Amino acid sequence: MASTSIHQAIHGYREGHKLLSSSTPLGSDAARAMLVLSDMSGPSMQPGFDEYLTGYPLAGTDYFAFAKTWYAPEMQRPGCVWTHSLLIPRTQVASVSVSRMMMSFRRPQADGVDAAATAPIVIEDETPVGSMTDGFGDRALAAAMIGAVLGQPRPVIVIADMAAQFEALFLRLWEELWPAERTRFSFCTGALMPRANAGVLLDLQAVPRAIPPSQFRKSANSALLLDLRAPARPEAWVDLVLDGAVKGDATFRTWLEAAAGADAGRAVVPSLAPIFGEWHAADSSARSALARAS
Amino acid sequence: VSNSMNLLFVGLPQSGKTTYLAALWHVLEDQSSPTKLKRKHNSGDRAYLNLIAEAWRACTPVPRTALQTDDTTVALHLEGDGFGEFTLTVPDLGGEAFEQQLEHRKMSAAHAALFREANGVLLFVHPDVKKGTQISEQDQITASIGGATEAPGGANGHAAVPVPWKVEMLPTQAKLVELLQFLLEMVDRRLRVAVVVSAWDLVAEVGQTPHEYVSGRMPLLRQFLDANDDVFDHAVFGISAQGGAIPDDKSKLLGLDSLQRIKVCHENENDHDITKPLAWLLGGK
Repeated sequence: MASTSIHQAIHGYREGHKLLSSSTPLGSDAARAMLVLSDMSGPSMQPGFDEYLTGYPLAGTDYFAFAKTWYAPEMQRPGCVWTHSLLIPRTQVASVSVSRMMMSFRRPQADGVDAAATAPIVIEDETPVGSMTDGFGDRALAAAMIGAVLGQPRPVIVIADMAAQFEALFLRLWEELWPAERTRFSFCTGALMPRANAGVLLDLQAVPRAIPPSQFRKSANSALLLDLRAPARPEAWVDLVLDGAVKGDATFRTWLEAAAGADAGRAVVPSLAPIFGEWHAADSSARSALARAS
Repeated sequence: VSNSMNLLFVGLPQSGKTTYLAALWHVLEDQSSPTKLKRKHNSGDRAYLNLIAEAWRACTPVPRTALQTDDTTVALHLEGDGFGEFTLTVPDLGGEAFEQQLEHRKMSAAHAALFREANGVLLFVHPDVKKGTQISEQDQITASIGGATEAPGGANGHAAVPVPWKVEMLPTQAKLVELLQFLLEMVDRRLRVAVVVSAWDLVAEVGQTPHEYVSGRMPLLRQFLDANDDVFDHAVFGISAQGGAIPDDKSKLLGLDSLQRIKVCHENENDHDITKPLAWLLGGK
């Protein structure tokens, strides 16, 4: 059975937030970016946000960082966290199982932390273990999220009651993206303040409802603010994306990447989905149409 | 029209920057104690200041400043005898931001702008300087970087194994001097530097003035400041913003009037005015 070897790193507090253990050296820009994104995601912890996930392309490297952060109340000062990061080669982001990666996260402990991540971890490339809840299980919620994230180019800030609330939805949406977009998509399921990577707001992040938007209006004024308590009726193209995803049919995203090119951003979806829809309906599958075209 | 002053709090992690800011905000809000500087009126978003001041009042450790937070710059509208009205801007940078600067010799554009625009600097030093990181403890430093602690010539035949450099191996005062050198490179005018020995309650009983204390414990820093007196004016303050060690002294501290917890020592003067180093930085005596 094929497997993927993935580098890892642990950040935590020891007279300052720092890298404590890692299986590969990184250049200084990447190390700095990772230090910031592995630190607590805002100035103070909020109830329900003491564990969260962050995913981002690590600038200056060929890695995509997928990380889990835990609040560390055992430390002397408030505001300390542990973060376990997996460094996935970008070429493999689309093929590594998210559920397998989720299972390999370990909350670090002060004892023996220096040796805890000195070797890469091995992840089996088998079918997903299926223990995760289906992020698209609530269709209205999924449609609203897809509509917001793929329907326009701005970063999206979702108001959340707790970090776990949209975790499965974020991960499922990330998995549903076409390979090129999946390697550059950035997200955080528990941003205590809106977060940025290399000066740009993450594509999708969940911010606690307890934080008034006035506190981040200045730093995040470019973002689309989304409150999913009353999802709006989705546009037709969202159904097309969602139907494919729910059936496990990757035809649309394969077609999309072929049609729009790897550089096209996520906001191309609303304009291309209807074209795909018509094509797909015309009695011949897009797959065969693509095969004829190539 | 009020003037605008930008102060920079510089210091390593856990050197007392945020605790100072928390106590300062409490005092400015309370307005009942005699201070050189007073709050003129409220300013913008005070959520962060209220958060840290609340922890300070409860005698719990103030939250550390996470690296992610860009929005912890506070603007205080102040006035004082001889100073008029002015807006004081203080970014609360985490100590890690300064360690990053030392380690990678790089800083973000935003961080560089703060350095360039600084009208004065509060340089924080915690007296509980980690063992092995003072220059006087050279044997421990040598050992920590894998070197021999005795004269060479041992005949054990082992080849030396290089130990990778880490920023933790730098003595604290060497780090502080280096941070001041960064500042020298970026600022082209004379600057006041108030050295704040935080947690002054831990060392006050030694009976030295803050200046004598720094001269004795951190001679490199003192000599650097003296040698560069054409660009840096400096003064040394001993400040206990918390009033004691947390959590050990918590119950005792909670029993005190919170304003009396604060202890400020400058030369041979002792009082409770936490605005004193700020007033000195702004040109006071």
